[in-house]
Order: sequence, then C-alpha cells, then structure tokens
Amino acid sequence: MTADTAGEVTERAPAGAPYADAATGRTDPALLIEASVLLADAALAARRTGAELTAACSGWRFGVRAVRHPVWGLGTALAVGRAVTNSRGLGFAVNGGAVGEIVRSLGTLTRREAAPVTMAVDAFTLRIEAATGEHPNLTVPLAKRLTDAVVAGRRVEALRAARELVQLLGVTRTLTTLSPVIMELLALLALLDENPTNDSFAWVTLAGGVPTTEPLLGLPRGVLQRFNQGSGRAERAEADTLLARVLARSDNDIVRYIDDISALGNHGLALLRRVRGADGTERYVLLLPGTSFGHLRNRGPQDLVGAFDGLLRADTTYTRSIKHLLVRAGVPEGAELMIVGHSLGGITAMNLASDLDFVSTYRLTHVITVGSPIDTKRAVDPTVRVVSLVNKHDVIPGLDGRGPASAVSVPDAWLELSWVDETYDYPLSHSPQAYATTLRGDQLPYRTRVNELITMYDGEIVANQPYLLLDK
Amino acid sequence: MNASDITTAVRRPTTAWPLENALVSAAMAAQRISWIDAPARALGLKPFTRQHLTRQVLAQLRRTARGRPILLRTAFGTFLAPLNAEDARSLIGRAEEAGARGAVTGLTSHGRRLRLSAHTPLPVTLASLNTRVRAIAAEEALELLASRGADSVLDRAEWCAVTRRIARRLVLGDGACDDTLIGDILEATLQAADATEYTARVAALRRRLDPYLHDPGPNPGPTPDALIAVLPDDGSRNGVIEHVLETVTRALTETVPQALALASVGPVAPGTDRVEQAVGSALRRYPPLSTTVHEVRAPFQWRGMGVDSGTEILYATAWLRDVDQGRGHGDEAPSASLCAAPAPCAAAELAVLVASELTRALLRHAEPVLLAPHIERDALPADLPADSLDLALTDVDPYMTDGTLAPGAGVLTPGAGALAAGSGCARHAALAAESARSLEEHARQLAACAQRPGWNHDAFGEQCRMTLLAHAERCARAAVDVSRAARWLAR
Repeated sequence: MTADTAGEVTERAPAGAPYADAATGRTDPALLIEASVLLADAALAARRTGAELTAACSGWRFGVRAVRHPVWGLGTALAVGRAVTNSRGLGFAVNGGAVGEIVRSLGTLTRREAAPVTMAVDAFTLRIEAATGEHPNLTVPLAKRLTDAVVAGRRVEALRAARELVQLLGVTRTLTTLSPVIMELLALLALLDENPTNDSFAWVTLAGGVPTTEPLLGLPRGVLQRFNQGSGRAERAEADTLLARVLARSDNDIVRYIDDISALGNHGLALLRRVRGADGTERYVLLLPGTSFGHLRNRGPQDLVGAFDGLLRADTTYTRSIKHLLVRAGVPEGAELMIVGHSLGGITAMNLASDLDFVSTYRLTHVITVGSPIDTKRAVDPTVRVVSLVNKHDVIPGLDGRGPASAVSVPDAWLELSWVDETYDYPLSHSPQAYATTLRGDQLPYRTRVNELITMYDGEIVANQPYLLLDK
Repeated sequence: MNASDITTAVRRPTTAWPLENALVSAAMAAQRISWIDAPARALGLKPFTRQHLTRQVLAQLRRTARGRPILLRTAFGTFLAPLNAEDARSLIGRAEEAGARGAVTGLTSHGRRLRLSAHTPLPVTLASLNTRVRAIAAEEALELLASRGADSVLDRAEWCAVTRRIARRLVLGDGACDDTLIGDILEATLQAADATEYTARVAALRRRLDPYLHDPGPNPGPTPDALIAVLPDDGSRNGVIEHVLETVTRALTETVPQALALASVGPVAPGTDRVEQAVGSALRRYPPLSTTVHEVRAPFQWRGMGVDSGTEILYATAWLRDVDQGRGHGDEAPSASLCAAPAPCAAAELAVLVASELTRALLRHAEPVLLAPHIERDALPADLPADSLDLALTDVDPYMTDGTLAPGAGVLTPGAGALAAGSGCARHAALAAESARSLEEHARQLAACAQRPGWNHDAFGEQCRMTLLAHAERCARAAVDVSRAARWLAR
C-alpha cells in the first residue's frame, strides 16, 4: 500500500478519465504513464519475439532439418530473416543465445535500429515527461536540454548541458533536479551507446528488477564484490557524550529511533538495544546508520562501495558484520528483533530479511527503512512487517529504479509512507534529521501509525550498546 | 567369552577387488554426467549405456561376495554395500534393533548428501486423512492449472511453491498456507553441510513449527482435519510432522512431475488405473531416494557378520531395483522409494496418496505434454530429474461442467496444439505464432491509446499520439512477418 502526504492510497486515473491537467492544459501525467507502460510491454514483447526467432534458426535441430529439407530450410530462413530485420517491423531484432548476442552486439556497434530499442526509448521518454508534472524543476531549460539530448542519444551535448547545469545550480541542486528521472537517464545512456554489454541495465530497468550490471561500462555486479571483501566484524564501542545523551532520552518511537541513528553518525557505528517487555520477554532493536560519503572505501562497511554492493547483492560486509555483532552480543537464537535502518542501513536491513540463515536464526519481526531504495528486495519470511519511509525529494530511495511508470510494485503487506517536505536539496533531503523533523511535525499522521505497529517493543530499555562495524 | 573370542568368531565383510572398486567409483561418477549415455544411445549400443554397465558391475560384485554385503572402497568413500534389497532392509533393520543406526543421508545423482529426517511412525490411519487429501489436491490442482504460462507450460518455481503449500496445509492446517519460510528451512535442513549446521536448521524449523504445535497465537488455529490436529500430543509429534512434511514435499516436487511425464508417453495397461500406474512407475523407475547412506554408530552383528562402528551402509535402491527387475523380481511397495526406513513407512504411504490425488486432479482437467527432454515409451531414460522436465498441461476440455472456462484455459491459445506436437521446430513455430498474436494485441492497445482525447491539449500530446500510432503500425507489421515465419517453421 502506498500512502501520499494526505495519508490516502494513491491511485492511477481510471480509463476514460478526461486526461488533461485542468490547471496547465498539459497532457495528463496519468495518460503519459499509461502509454509508457504499454510501450514498455510492447518493447519487451518485441525483444522476446526476436529472441524466439533467433533461437528457432540458430539451433542444431534447425540445421539438421534444413539439410534434409533444403527448400523448407531456405524458406524458413528467409521468412525468419525478414521478420527480424524488416525496418518497418521489428527492425534489427536478433538477440538471445550465443549467436544472437554476437549478432546483436555487431548491430549495436553499427547502430542498426531495432524496434524494441525504439519503443523502450519512447517508453523512458514518456516516463521522464510524466515526472516533470510532479517535479517542475525538470522543465528548467538546461535540465530540459540535458534530458532531450540523452533521449536523442547526443552524448556530447548531454555532457555540455550537464556541465552548464552544474555551473548554474551547483552539484547538489543538479543531482536533486535530476534525481526523479536518474534511472531513466542512465538506462537511456546504456541503451543508446555503442556498448552492447550495458544494455541489460536498461532492459532490467524497463521491466522492473535488480540490475545485474552497472549502467556505464556494463561491468557485472560480481566485479563490485571484489571491491567489498571481508568477513565483517563488530567491536564493542563506548558511546560518546552526545550519543549517550540522545540515547538516554530514547524510547520505542520511530522519531526517537531516527534521532538515535543521527547521533550514531555514519563512521561505522551501529546500536543494539535490549528491551524488556511487560511480559518479561527480552526483545532486541538494531539501529543501522547509512553511508559515509567521505571516501569511496573505508575500513568499515558504511562506505560508497558498500552502498552499491548492498543495492545489488544481499551478502555484503555490512550484513556479515551485523551477524557477527549479534553473535558477539549473545543475542539468543529465536529472539525477537526489529531493525531500523537509514539509507544503506535500510538496504542492509532488507538484505538481512532476505537471508534465510538470518531469519531462521532470529525472529525478525519488523524492518523499518528510512530513505532506502529497497523496492526490489523481498523478505524471505512473509510475516516480517516492512515499513518504508520516503521523502519524495530524496534522491536515494529512487535508486532502485522504481520510477513513475516502473513495473516494480511492492508487496501488499508492505507499508510505504511517502511525503514531500521542505528539504529540497540533496543531501539535506536524505538526512535522518530531515526525516525526523518531518515526522515530528503535526502535519503527518505517520509517526503514530508506525508507532502503533511496533508496540511489541514497548518496555524498559535494559541496555544500549554501540558497536563499531569493520570490513575485516 | 571375551572380546577377542568375539573378534575371531565373527566374519568380516568381503572386500571388493581394486578393479571392482574402480568400476564402482566410475559408475558413481557416471551418475553425475547427464549426457554420458548420449553417444552409446546415438550409436544404438545399448550394452554400453550407464544402466547396462552398472548392472554388469553389480553382477560381478555379487559373484565376488556370493550375494552377501561387500565392502567397497570408492573414490567417494568406503561403504558396506548390500547387493540385494532384502539384505539391505535386513541389515539396516538389524542396525536399528541394535540401536546402532546413526544419521541417514540421501545421496543424489550429483553426489550431494541430503540429511534426511528420522523415520517416525505415523500414529494415524491414512483413511482418516483421505477426505482432506482429496479436497486439498483438487483445490491446489486448479491453482496450478491457473498458473500456467501462455503456452500451457508449468513453471518449476511455481510448481514447487504450490506443492510445498499442499504439504503445509495437509500437515499444519490452512493457517500455514502462506508460511513459506517453513518450506525454505526444511529445504535448507536437507542441504545442511555438516552436523552443526543440521542441528541449527532443525532447531530453527522447530522454532518455526512451535506456534502451530503449542501456541496458535495469531495463527488461525489448526484446521480440524489437518494432521497436526489428530496427532497425539506426545514427544514424537515434532518428529512425525517433520518426517511427513519432508516426505510429502519430496513426493510432490519430484514424483508427480515424473508421473505426468510418464503418463504423457505411456499406454495405460488394461484394467489398471492410469494415475496409479504413472505414480507407481515413477517411484519404481526414479526413486527420489535413489541411494541412502546409513551411518553405523556402534558395532553389531548381522547373520554372523560383524559391522564396525563408523561404517557407512550404502543402500543403492535404484541400482538394486534395476538389477532385481531385470531378473523378474523387485516387488517393493512404491512408498519404499520415499523413506529410508527398512520397515514400511506410513508417512511415505501418505505421500504416495497425496501424489496420486494431485496427479488425478490434474489429469481430470488436462493432458500432460512433455516438451523436453524427448523420451520414448520403449526406451525410457535411466534417470529423469524432475527439475529438468519442461512440462505443459493442455486442457482436456476448456469448459467445465457448469459451462465456465476452466482455470488457465483463458490463456490457452491455438498454438498450444502445435506445442503439444513435440519439441524443436514445432515448438518454435507455436511460440512464434503466440508472439505474433501478442504483437497484434500490442498494436491494438497502442492504437487505442493513441485515440484517447487526452492527447489533444498540446503539441507534445499530438507528437505522442503519432509516436504511439507509428509503434502500433510497426507492431502490426511485425506480427505479419512473425506469423509468416511461424507458418514456415510449422511446415
């Protein structure tokens, strides 16, 4: 279920609606999204058809039969060849299998037009246009020039426009401006360049899924794993004065948890809290902060490499160090546990929820993510309560590729609460303080709503123990 | 009599010759190579297939050991191998009586060891579960039929999800319908790498089952006729539930697809039930527990032969059954393929019942078509892994008795007929024909979207309309081309 700022379920416009924005007279974004979904489906169907025809004529069975019945073989080859190369039909749609991929790569290098690619490009274009309704900064002339250049495949012009946009707005405002359509722009770049190895990024983004390559060079995600190695370790740490003061006034309240995460900082600390409930049962709350942006890599798992790794894979140095933390802290098997994570912490919480070993060792009951791109991740235990808190101005939660017309839909059991607040620029819009401030205000009912879901963790806080997480 | 007297009085098992050990090792290694029979089959050299050569090796071992269990030192471990099913059951039964039987593992054809749950007698009669088994099988069969793809093909992941759900509903009640974690932990328990991991997995499984057993809590409570509701609340209840869950899941995920594959090629013998014949044949030809290894944890004697602690008894069910059938006997009950216990197992019989009922419910509405691998009625392959089967279920009658469309029938297409014709070009033709129809449908939807009045408000809207119409035209043109290619492929 998705709730917007008014606390109501967001629904798309029904078929037959007038489809015009009354205020501006522009085409209704709902119609653009509908057309984008249709085009994406058609693109995927055309691509699949190309793959099926390629497989039909590249298998050994076809070869054997063609030798036995040469007339049939010639006729079939011509008919299939016509189907996968007709510029008025599928275009150059050969793909799939070893032979198909080699031919497709040659076609990409020589810029042969394929109907699936053209349809996909138009689907992404409509997504971008639909997003401009909700994010008017995308209509700024330079931003518009940039998106138009990317859509047209004019990379040099796109680079110039990006440079001028940065000069005009600065890096953070540029990032914020482009963030609603960043996945679409990356997918278009991947689809329209001469590199055939990164195209899968675009197709996965179009279909809704977890990309298996990065968008620029097409490097497989296994390569990323090489940069984020380590068994993961957790060392007991002492709370400094500021952290101790914040923890002293903490409670079973989502805003307090986010405050605690802010106080933990993002230099490698995580917090394990023991709570004794009214029924005498001891339960555990784990607070996981997000990424440290100081360096690409540091000695802990909360770094940029770890963030990309966590986004694409489930077993990372962060998840391993958390498992080590729980063993070290003596959390008994079967103990009830809730994880609250901000940004990379939220990704890690979902990665742990998708780990069979973890959920069969501990009874993970709740995962609350704050500004985390988790929509392509799934908990292996269907009873885990997942709550995702998203500020729509925040760049980071959109990095999972769930755009306005994305095929990704979150499970019905999840509670996704999103809003638009006054913190426009990244990284301010992503900071835990901004999330806490918004939730603390009276305008949104979300604080109460989340707190009602986590009442089983009410009780006396027995211990608050910070741990320093390390890669090795 | 002292210990030394016993040692001298007791016979040791005959040890195989080095060449025999090498041949057995080769036979075990050959199990891991699925294509190894292909050259011999292609050349029509049946005596050089894996199955025939293994029979020769077993015949040689029987000559060497005079039919008694033989000690094999293979590349995959040292085993005491009984050379007929009766000896195997008797030897394992004696170990059980002597309290010497330790952990039991299943050995897959890929050489992986599966840690099996301990056999625990089922303290209820099958008759008391019949009604529920039939009801669940009928209900879930409709779910499976509804989950078929556009070409009526069954998705393996969906199949496994539904069959695990059947097992949960039958054993734990409808409250466990969506608790997929139970099946995941059960599977992980089977695959445990060592004893420590196995113990941890079993503990996790018991924690997960605990609410269903003792404290229904938020769960809707046990269904009155679920197995859990009729089991006596004694110390064996956990063991029974784990054993039944494991055995039923195994029968449904492995045997039922194999039975459907056999039903798609096999003629029905006069006077026999097609379902029983298919399920029985699948269990006899392709036992899910084709080989089990029984660890001996204390010395014991069997028919004057001493078996030391630490010995591993290798019960090669499939090999022994193949040799015995070749000699005209091999009368084991089908359920013996599902449980490693030497005595008849009621849980395995329940699993056979559930497998039969699910197969029956599916065949009531649909006819199985095996798309891959290609098998022939008179030359069935030596092994037929369930996860390698590409099965389709085409509707017998797309309309049910009340006139409504059968589940899944709505997605059936005329191409399914061609699909049923076999594999290779016919299948590609059917898929291409289906793609052509899909492209036609996309063309229609894009054109319909372009006609919406919402595009009339600005230049961009009109531009979008023209783009959609252009793509609709391309899809329609592509559909014609693909349809022509499909016709050529189908010729």
